[in-house]
Amino acid sequence: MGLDHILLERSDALSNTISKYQKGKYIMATPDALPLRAEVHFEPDTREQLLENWTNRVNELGVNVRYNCEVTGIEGEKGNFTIQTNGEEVQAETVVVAIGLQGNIRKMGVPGEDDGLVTYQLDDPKDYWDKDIVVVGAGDAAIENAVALAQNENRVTIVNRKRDFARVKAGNRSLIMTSIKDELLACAYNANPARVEKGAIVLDTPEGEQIVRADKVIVRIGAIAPRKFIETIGGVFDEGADFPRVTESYESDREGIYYVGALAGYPLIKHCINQGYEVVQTIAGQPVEGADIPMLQEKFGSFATGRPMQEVLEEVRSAVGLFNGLTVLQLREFLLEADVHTLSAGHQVIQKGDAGDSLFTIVRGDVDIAVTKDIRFKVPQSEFFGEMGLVMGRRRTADTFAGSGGCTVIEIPRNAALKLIASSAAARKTMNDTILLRKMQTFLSPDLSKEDLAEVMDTYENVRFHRGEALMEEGAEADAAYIIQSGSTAVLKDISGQDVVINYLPAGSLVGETALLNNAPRNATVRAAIGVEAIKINKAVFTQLLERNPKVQALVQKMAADRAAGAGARGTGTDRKTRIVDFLMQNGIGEATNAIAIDNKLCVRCDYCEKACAETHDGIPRMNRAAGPTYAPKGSSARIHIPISCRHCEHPHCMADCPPNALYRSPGGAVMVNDTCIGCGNCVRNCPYDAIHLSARPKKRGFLLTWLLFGFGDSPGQRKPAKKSKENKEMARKCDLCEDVRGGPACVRACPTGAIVRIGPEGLMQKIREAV
Amino acid sequence: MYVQTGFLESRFWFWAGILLSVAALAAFIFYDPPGGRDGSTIVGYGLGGLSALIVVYLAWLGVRKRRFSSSTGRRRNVVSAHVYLGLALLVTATLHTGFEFEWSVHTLGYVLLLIVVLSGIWGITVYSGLPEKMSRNLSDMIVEKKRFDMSELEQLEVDLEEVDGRLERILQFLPDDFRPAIRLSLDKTKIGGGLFSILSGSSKRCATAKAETQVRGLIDSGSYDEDVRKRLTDLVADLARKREVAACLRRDARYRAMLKIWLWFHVPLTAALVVTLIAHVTLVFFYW
Repeated sequence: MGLDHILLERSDALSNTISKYQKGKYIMATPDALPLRAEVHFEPDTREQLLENWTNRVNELGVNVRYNCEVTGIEGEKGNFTIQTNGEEVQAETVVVAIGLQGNIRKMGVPGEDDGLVTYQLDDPKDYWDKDIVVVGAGDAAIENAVALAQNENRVTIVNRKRDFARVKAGNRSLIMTSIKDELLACAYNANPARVEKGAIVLDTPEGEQIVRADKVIVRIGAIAPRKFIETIGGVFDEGADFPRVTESYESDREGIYYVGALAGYPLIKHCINQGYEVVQTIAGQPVEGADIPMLQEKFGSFATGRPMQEVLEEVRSAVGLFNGLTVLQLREFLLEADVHTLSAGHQVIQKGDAGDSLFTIVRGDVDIAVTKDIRFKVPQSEFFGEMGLVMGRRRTADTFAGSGGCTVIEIPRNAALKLIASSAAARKTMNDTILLRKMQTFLSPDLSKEDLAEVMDTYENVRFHRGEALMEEGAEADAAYIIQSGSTAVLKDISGQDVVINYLPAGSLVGETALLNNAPRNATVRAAIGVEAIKINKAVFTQLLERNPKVQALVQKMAADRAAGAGARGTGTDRKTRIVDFLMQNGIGEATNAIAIDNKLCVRCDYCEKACAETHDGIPRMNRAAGPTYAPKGSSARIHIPISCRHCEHPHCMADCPPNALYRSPGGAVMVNDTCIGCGNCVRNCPYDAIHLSARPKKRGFLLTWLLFGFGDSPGQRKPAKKSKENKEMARKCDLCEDVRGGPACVRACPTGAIVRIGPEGLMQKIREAV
Repeated sequence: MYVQTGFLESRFWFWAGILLSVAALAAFIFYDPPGGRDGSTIVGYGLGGLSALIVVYLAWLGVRKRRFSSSTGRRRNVVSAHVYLGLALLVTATLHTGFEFEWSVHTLGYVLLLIVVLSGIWGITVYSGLPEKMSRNLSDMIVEKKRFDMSELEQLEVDLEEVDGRLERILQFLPDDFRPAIRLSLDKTKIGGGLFSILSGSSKRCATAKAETQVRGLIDSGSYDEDVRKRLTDLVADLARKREVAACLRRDARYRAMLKIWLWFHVPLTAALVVTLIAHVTLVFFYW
């Protein structure tokens, strides 16, 4: 373009960050869909090739570079800047700051971090061999380092603060998942570094502290903007923001100074190159719109027809609560992953029971959620819905339709939504607020508004509980109510000196809500069945709110009265039927969708059900007939036995913590495991009913002739127990309801006396009602 | 109170069996050929052929019940058919004989058939009566399941081990007089054993029961200080619990054996019956 320019480089070569990447690293060019618009070639390639190409291109284009020149300050104003460096000063009309973040690495901030065990960079994975290495972080850099080290025969543990790898490129996600599955490296999920010791790092995990041996700890948890420097050159950080503020055209608060790349919040190389191009075009007086704009235009379709994209984006940002805290630039990036649907009135958005793992937000119009056939819950414009599908990878819980005026909704895929919540504090707050409000609306009254609960909204806390930790203890003073956001809890009661589990409450439940109604002590203990994230509503604050808000007070009093009446009615009746139902409920049939029930008065203990199960499932039985609870009180003639076998829970505990999301619900309603299972055993531990087991594939059964004549294999009809190996991995094995077998569950078909059924709780209750 | 529909409750096969028997009887009574009613008349061949078909179909259950991946209906319905057709067989086969018996392979076939059906009736009685007894035997009164993944039996076995552990420990705190009795319980308490002891299910000669009586006798005849007395109370409680659990396990073993032992007659004799039937048919058609 023939512009007068100078490129100031602190070190003695260009592309400093990339040259620090590990040797031979394959550099990806994401987002794939985004077109590249620059004079410099960029395609997926190795580090070395890429650097060579760039250096050649820079030489070809005759870029004016001054090496070893560190900028210390910028003075003057647009059109007349003086740039102070460690060498001579430079005069410029405009300044583009593209310094990236790698100069300012984020640390763990734990004791012992500076004792020499920890490093923040991996130059060449070949530097390490046969070592114990812990990689902290779950980003792209951490994954690439960890896998490369593991491939070089090191024993690698990667430490992930979360339970999945949501914030990384798709390629890296599958890379790390396969590596974990193939036992190339270990992964500590939900783990936070607690301290670094001599030759080890201590992790804080849901199971308690875990000490991991380490010859080296490599920390790759990102970098933060060099705040001090940015502020001296006139950049402004919004409260809580990690990056300085920039305008739509990447100009900073100080006119004439532009930020591009990671400093502006865009770590991807393609973004950086495109931004550089756009900024230079702007400076040259020929502004271009972003490379993503045509793509967004297409996405929005009729919603954006005939309007400049800028206006549309502004509308979306102000219209959708979750997006309020984003800059237009962030929004643009985010929307690239999302889908926009414009629907006419009455059009179905979500079908109940569908597998759905996206979040919807409403840009225009409203939607109706059909809670039951008659009751419809209206979600107004600006709010979101479908969030339960997002949190746990669950099935959709209700049908949802476009409202009377039609609507435009944005569908955000699960990973993008998790990224949004993780990266924007404002979005997180909006999300929590809305969940809280909705829960209170269903609990007390749909008439409640945000304003009614203002104090609660301002003071609730986000709390976490480890597995087994008590949210509340029976008999203790009730000081708060909780909304379970992820994980699930068990409700226990002290029955003659023994803690008996009486109920399970999955994510989405309101727990300990009686605290908000009266002053009675806790009537049951609630423990986290797995790691739990919850919103804690403080009782003291709620009580104050009641004093000031008669509307809410009236609602609470009515609810308390209703509950007291209900409790009285529930307390009576100890007849036979109640006792069976009580037994079934205590043993979790309430949350089942399809469980085995055996009438022990018909069961001849032949175990054909178990044999049939094994025969239809590669020799691994997915049920244990003899084990499991039995209803056999003295004096009752009913004998119901619930053998150990999957109950296909409504909210499967097993699904809550599956790193590769291998557990899913089939269209037929069975909870199944697919081949991506990595055998981590989370589901086995999380299943409160012992219904899942890890097992490798057993050998083929022995065949008479080969055994007799050649001595091959096991004796006829026998199998040796499964032996795990690299090729034959342990995987989660569980009941699949024999969905691929014609004629239904083999256990039921094989029973000679008709003692066994597979049935849902309603069906079972019906049978009991008829029999009693 | 049955919650599920058992194999005896099939109306279809019940009436099918009755109908078959009545039809066979009617044919037998109303058809009176000159040579007398025997297996070589048209009705006789009819009844014989029908009986043979039924026998083959019923014997096929042994194969069918092991075909787990086959999707042909529920085994319960097959068992219902097995029961009611098998009972009808008593009528059809008996009428087929024409009440002519002699020392031959033909009568052997009939006798085998009778034994097989009678052992089947024995099977029906144990299958319909014992499951309830087994459940009652292992009721809440005796089993307190502490772990979800254990069966009632496993729980009782764990309980016994715990009691034995306590008995071993208490030995060192008690006067030597008690040693023989406790050792008797620890070393000689047997559950199971040979076929007859399993089938009797009797606890009359239970070593722990004897030990308990001996201990009670010693307690009554001696005087002990407070500490020992407290331990003795525990000891008696443990021995009583062990006696009850052992008796319960013996009964359970008996029930289990009873559920199986009729098959020892039913199945091999069925095989013998099928072989005899082949001989019977071959002889009748080729050498008569």
